[in-house]
Amino acid sequence: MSSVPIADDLRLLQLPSEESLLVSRSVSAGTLAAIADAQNHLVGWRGRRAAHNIFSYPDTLGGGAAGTGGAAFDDPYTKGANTYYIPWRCSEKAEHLQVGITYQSSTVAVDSLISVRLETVGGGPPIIDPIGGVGAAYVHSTEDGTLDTAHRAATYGGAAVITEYPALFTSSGDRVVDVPGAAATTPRCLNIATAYRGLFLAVVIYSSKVRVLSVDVQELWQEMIEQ
Amino acid sequence: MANTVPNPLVLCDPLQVSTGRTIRAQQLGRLAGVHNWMLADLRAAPLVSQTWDASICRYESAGGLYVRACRWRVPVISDAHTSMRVLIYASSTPTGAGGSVRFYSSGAALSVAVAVAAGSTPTAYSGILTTAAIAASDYDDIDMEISAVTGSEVTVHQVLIQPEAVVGMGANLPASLIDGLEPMGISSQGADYPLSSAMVIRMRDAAEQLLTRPRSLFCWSGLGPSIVSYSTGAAEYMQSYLHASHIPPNAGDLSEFTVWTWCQEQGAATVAYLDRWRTDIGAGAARVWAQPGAGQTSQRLDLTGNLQRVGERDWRTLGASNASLYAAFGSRSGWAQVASISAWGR
Repeated sequence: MSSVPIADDLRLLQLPSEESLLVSRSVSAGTLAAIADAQNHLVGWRGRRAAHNIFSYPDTLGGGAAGTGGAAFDDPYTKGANTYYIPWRCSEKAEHLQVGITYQSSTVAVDSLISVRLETVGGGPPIIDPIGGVGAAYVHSTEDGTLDTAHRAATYGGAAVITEYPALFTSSGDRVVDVPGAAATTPRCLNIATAYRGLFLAVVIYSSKVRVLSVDVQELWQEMIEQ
Repeated sequence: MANTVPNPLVLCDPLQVSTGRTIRAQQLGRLAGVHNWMLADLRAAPLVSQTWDASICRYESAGGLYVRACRWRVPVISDAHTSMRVLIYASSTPTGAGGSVRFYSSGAALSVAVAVAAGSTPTAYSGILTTAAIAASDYDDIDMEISAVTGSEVTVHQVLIQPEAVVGMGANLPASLIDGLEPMGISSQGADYPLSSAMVIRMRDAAEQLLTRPRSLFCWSGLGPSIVSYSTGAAEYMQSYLHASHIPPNAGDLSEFTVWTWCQEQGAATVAYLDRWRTDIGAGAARVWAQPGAGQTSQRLDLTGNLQRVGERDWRTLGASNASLYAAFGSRSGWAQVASISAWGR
């Protein structure tokens, strides 16, 4: 089985000029190779789907005088658990899904939790990738991304669909973004890579005592596509 | 084989058509297939994706009138991608007759209404909105309007708007054009067919032009008059709040992107602007102004940033990471509102 490399930097690619393809000239194999390179780059990089889901809260961009924290809003830290269904329709070519979550927890002492699950519309069961992916992934909001399995078991009772792949989780400090005003917490973005194959129609975000600010979903395609 | 979009997509290995190799019909067929797929599917990705906390995007409207909740300005990816899939999670009061959520395209002056049944459990609903680019421009404004019959209320929890991939490009050549680009008849690349100059030029031009298909980087809209600055006299900064999305950069990406804001005000503010729009992709801080005295105004801000990879980072932040609304009304009173922010790039 051979594979096709996808050029990862379009600046290194050079499309042939139109003049080189005039009727009076012969079409060379090298010219076709350049076109194939450009096509493969477009497919591999720009054919992927991405969605940037932004959570809106009532005090967003307003609601009170400067620095006062705005009008009263539903405090997500005391509200308990929330489940959000992020609509998503992946393409048939996708092989992996990457989910970045920017969230804000009140203090490091809060036992907060974010989970991500993939479902079909209507809350159907996750589609489990037969080639070794997962249908659900859990992230404990500790600095090192350590999973709190005790919390998960207490919360979910070890549901059969839950599978943990801690090796897939990363938490990197360079994705910290500013927290404005008097807020004492720091939003953080986690990337969660979960292998799958199938057509998922929703990314389900479950959060407990965490304010989710945005969720970014991106398909990842194979860098090397089987031919 | 006529114009089709192949599935599964099989790429042409450049090494198979490099200098010194025999050009085989199989490889040409793959080039043609990828060409068709790109015209139909490239960048048919979500343009709008937004979530509200419980009870925020909730409307009662006596008599079933539609109330506009949101407006998004979205890029048009091609002249053929005029079907938008709208997908919402919505609920209604447990009893009663429910309501509906309507999406309206300003460019096409067309709408689609999605019925929402009674029931407090958020349920997925879907519809197809026909849209079009606003004349002489490259975008469309899409409104989301909510209606509930008397005695009911409808809550939208999440929304997704995404172009549908083009299908049925035509069974025979010449096929339907997409932004002036012509799909391939794959049979024309069969064995014993001539390798024409025109065919290769078509593929080359398509690859070049498709580089510029836009993608949505940030799309947010507030709700009605609820996100406002009320002020009497004194200038006021609103509480700032994070609005950010994380952009997966494409390798070798072009760096231009466009930010749109749509502001409303009443009371003839002397000045109002969205302040401290920030990004980590090189554009720096920027202010987006609403015109003083205008009832509603949209402002476009063209920024040049750097969407390319830096080191090992695979996400870049774009958004109003510390944005606030500044409004000053002089001796008058009034309100100002940032109703919509969107950004798109290549």
